[in-house]
Amino acid sequence: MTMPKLKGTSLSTDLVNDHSHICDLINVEYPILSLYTDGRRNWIYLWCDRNDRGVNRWLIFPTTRDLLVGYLQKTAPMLTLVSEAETLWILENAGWDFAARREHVDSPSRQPRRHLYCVSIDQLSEYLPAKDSFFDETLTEDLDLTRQLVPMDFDLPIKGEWFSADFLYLFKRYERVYAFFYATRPRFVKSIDATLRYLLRSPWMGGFSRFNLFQHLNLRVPGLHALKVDELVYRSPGAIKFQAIPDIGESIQRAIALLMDDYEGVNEDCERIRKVLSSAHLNKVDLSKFSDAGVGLDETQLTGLHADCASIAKKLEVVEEIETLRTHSPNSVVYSKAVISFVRQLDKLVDLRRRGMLNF
Amino acid sequence: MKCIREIQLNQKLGRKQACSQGRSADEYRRRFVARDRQRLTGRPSRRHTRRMMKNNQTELTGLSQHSTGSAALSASSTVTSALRFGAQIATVGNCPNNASAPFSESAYRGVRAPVAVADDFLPHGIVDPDRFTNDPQHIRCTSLAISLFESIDQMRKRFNLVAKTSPNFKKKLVGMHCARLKLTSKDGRRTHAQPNGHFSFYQFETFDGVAAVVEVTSL
Repeated sequence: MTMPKLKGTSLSTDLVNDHSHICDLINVEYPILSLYTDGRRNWIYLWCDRNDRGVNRWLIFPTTRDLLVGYLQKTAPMLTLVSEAETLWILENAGWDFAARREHVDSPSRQPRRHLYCVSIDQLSEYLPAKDSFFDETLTEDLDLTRQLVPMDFDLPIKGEWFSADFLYLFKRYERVYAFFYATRPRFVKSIDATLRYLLRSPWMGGFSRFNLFQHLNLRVPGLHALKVDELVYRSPGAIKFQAIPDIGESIQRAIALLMDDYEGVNEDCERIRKVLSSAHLNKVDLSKFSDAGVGLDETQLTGLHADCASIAKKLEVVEEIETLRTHSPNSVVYSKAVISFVRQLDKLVDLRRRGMLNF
Repeated sequence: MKCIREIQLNQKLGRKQACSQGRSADEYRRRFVARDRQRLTGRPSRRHTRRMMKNNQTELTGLSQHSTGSAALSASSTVTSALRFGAQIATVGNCPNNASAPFSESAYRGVRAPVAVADDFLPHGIVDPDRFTNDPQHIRCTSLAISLFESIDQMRKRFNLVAKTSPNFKKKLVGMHCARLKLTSKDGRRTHAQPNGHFSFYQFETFDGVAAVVEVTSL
């Protein structure tokens, strides 16, 4: 079992290191067709070939939002996506894991040997999909087609004096909160649910797990639904026009406004949670492997934590999202820590609104 | 599972014992490096994972030895021990799940050559365990079973559908041949078939895949 030789310009494999696996579009025994993102564009990984030594060959290419939506709505075959791709890369690697696909491949010595090169479509006749290679939802378990698929425009109104650093700050904070909302509601990509569950099983011993939660969720938002800036011409007042999921934009604005209105009340709830955690010395203990029975809190303390989290959820109108956190967390302590960190992220955006920079 | 207070106490005692036993500086360095790595990456070290898996196995063995009160628990332990790859299955919770469907006359599986060999009946989770390390429980459980179909037409239809996008799928991955198997409840446990005819089969220790093949036809 050999693979035909392909000629092409060799590329650094660093180019695919920032690709994050979003979901499989075809997974029958093996992940044949997968969707990746680099935080901006959608990348398709199409399995092509394999040799006796277990080296797999993948065709990798970026695709536009329109083409991907066309494929998922069964109006465009995979062949169209391949033939209209601006660049075609071939990745060869031993086994089925690329560095970005698996979380445990964390050190260079453990990464599989890979070879990446750029090829022309003329060499790929043996690997090209058929003319009727349309999407079929029975070939994957990762997608929920009843959810919103097509991204739409929505505005984030801004005003006042803005510096470039403020834009950087806003986008960083906004995309983290956006990713949180994306992951905690039922979405088109079901696999983000498993990522949330995995991240909530981090040690939660200090700031890193909190940072990790928002940063990783952001990486798991498919390029199709990532925050794309559609329009940005600023003359105060103005707006940033995003192309993404509009109901998340509405939820973020509502939560920011509600937090500002009842800042004291939400803070009191957070303080009560912090007091329980610090009095039990649980702030820096790895509790990822414990259920409520093993965390060393009595029934009254656990009920108190739940009541405070529920109170925050009600005040910010994020009941569904907080409930998802509760069901995915290993215990009430991790759940409470995650709720507090969400409020903290939201607080950074409230600060911008307080300074008159967000206009709603 | 131990209470967190007990763990903290043990950690303190362990540190004192370690000091009194005079562990080498190297050993401390290794432990701290592993601990820091765990903190930085948010993932447990390999040693920690191995220890957790060992503990899980010990707990399961302990349960099966001492579970005189719970008939259901002892029954599930017996079934787990009778399954092939039982050690791997035991590390996945609630596995196999819903695998009590009755066996039909024949089952079909893709094989690479006109003569089926033992390797054709190895689950993906055994051939390439790394592939499933971070997958959810139900996927890790399914990876320890082999895929079968109720009819050859259903199998052909599904494989052809994939081959439209990836032309080498049959030739290089699942095989160009179809083995018809005769399976009974003595061979293992199976799940209910999905609408596309696919189901998972968990083998018993005594199952001989090659002997179960009735005929091999071209796909």
